[in-house]
Amino acid sequence: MTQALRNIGVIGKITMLEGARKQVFHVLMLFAVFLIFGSASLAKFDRHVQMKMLNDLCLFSVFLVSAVVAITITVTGIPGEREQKTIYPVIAKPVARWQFVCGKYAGAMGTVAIGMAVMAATFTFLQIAYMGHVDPSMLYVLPFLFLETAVLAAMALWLSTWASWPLAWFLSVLLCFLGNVKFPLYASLSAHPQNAFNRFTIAMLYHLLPNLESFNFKDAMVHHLTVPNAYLWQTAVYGIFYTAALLTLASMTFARKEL
Amino acid sequence: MATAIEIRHFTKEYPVPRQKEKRVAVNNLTLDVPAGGLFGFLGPNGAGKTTTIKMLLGFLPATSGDAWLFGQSVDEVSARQSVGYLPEQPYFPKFLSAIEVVQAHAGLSGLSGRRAKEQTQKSLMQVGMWDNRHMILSKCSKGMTQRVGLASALVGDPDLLIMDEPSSGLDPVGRKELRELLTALKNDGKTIFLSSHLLSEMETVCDRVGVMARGKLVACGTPQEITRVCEDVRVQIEQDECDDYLAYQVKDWGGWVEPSLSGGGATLRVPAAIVYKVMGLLEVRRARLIAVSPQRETLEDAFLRLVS
Repeated sequence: MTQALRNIGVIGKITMLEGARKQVFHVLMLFAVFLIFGSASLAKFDRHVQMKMLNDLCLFSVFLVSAVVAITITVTGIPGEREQKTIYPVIAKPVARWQFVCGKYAGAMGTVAIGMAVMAATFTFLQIAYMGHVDPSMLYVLPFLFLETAVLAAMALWLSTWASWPLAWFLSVLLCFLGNVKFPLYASLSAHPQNAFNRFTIAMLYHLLPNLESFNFKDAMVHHLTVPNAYLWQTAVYGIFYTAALLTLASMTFARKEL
Repeated sequence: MATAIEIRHFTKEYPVPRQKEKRVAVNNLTLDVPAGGLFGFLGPNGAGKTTTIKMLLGFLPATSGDAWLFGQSVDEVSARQSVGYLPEQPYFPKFLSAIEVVQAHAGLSGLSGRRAKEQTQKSLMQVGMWDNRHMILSKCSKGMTQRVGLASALVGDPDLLIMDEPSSGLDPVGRKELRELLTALKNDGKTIFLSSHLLSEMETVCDRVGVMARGKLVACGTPQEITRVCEDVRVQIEQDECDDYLAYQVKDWGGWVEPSLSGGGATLRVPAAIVYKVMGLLEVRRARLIAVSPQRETLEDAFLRLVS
C-alpha cells in the first residue's frame, strides 16, 4: 500500500510539475488575475452593490479558469501520454494501471490547487482593499469550488480513457453545463407531458449527471445567507463519492486498454 | 541456470477492419532467456519484436500463451519490480529536468529518501548525464534524451534490462560507451534483453541471439550456433607482382582470387579440402603467406538468410 501511494505521489508530482510549467497555464493564470481585477473596475455602483458584484464576478472567474485548467489537463493527460509514448517507461515499472490513473488525477488537481491559490490570493487582496476584511464565507465557498472542479476533472479523466481528447473535452464542457443547470432543466422537461421512454431517459440522466450546482455557494456568499453545516457535510460526502466512483470507472476502463 | 524470461506459446492477434481473418503479430512464440548475459532479439521491421516486448511488460495482453519474468507471471505488476526498460526513442515530459525524470523513476522502482538520491546520481553518472542533470528535456538533444532514458532504466539496479534499439540517437562515442556499459552490466550478472538492428554491434556483445521473422522465432542460440561455417578458407598472400598462373590454377581447383585494392597482395578463397595443395603452389610461386582463416557467415549474413 505504501508503494502504491508512493507511485500515485510520484506520477502526481510529475503531472503537476509538467502542468504548472506549461505556458498555457501561465497565460490562464494571468487571464484569471486580470479577470478578477477587471471585476473590481466594472463594479462602479454603490458600495453594497459593488461588493456583491465583485464577489459574484470573482467567484465566477475562479470557477471558470479552474474548470478550464482541470478539464484541459485531465482530458489531455492520459491520451497525451499514450500519443507521446511517455507512458511506457512509467508502466514498465511496477505501477498498476489504477495507480497511473489516480496519479494523473492527483497531479491535475495539484495544478488546479496552485491556480486556485493564486486566484484566491488575488481575490483576498481585492476584498481587503475594498472591504477592509476578508469575507469569512470564503472559507467554505472556495473549498467547495475546488470540490466541484474535482468532480469535473474526474469526469473528464474517465471520458479521456475511452474517447479521443477533443471529444472528451467537448463532452466534459457539455456535462459541466448540464450539471450546473440540472434542476431547472429537469423541472422544465418534467413540466411537459412525456412518453414512458422519455420519462425514463430524463429520470436516468437526472440521477446520473453530477449535481454541480450543489457545490456552488456563490449566492450564499453574495447575499450573506447562512448554509447549514449538515448540508455542507452532505455535499462534501456526495462530491467525494461521486469522484471516487468516476475514478474507479476510469481505472477499470484504462486497465483494459492496449498501450 | 535460472531463467530470466520464460515465454510459452505467446500469440498476439489483431483484428483487421472489415475482415474475418486476424493479423498475427506474434505466432506461438516459445523462448527462454537465461539469467545473466546479453540476449539479442533480432528481426526485420514488423517481425513482432516490439509486440513481444510490449506483452512482456504488460502494455498489451497476449491473445494466448504465458510469460514469466524471474518466475513471476507478467500479468502481475510485481513481476516488473526487477525490470528496467528503455524504449526505442524514449520520450519524457519535456518540461522536466533530467534529474527530475530519473528521480521519479527511482521512486517508481520503490526507492525513497537517500537511496533514491544515491541511485539517481549513480545512474546519471553511468550514462554521462550528471553534469547536465538540471537541463530541461525539451532542450536536450536526441542522444541526451536517450541517455536519460538509459539512466531511468538503470535506476533501482534492476536484474533484467529490456532495451529497444538502445544505440539509436547516439553518436559513435556514445555507442562505444554504451557497449562498454552493457559489457560492465553483463559482467555484474545482469540480464540484458536487447532488440536492435545494428547486427555488427550485436555480434560483438551478445551471448545469445533470437531471430524473429513474420511473428515466429526462426533461430535461437549463440552467434556461433546461428552463423554457418563456410567450406571455403581465406588465404591472404603478398606478392611483388600479379601472378596469372597462380590465379588460373586456383580457379581450376574451384577457388578464386580477390585482388587487393592497395596492390602487392591478394586474397584467395579456396575450398578447405585443397588448402594444403594451395600451400604447395604458393611455395612454388614464391608468394608470401600472410594468414589462413576459416570463413564464417557474419551475423548479418545469417540474419538475411534466416529472414528471407
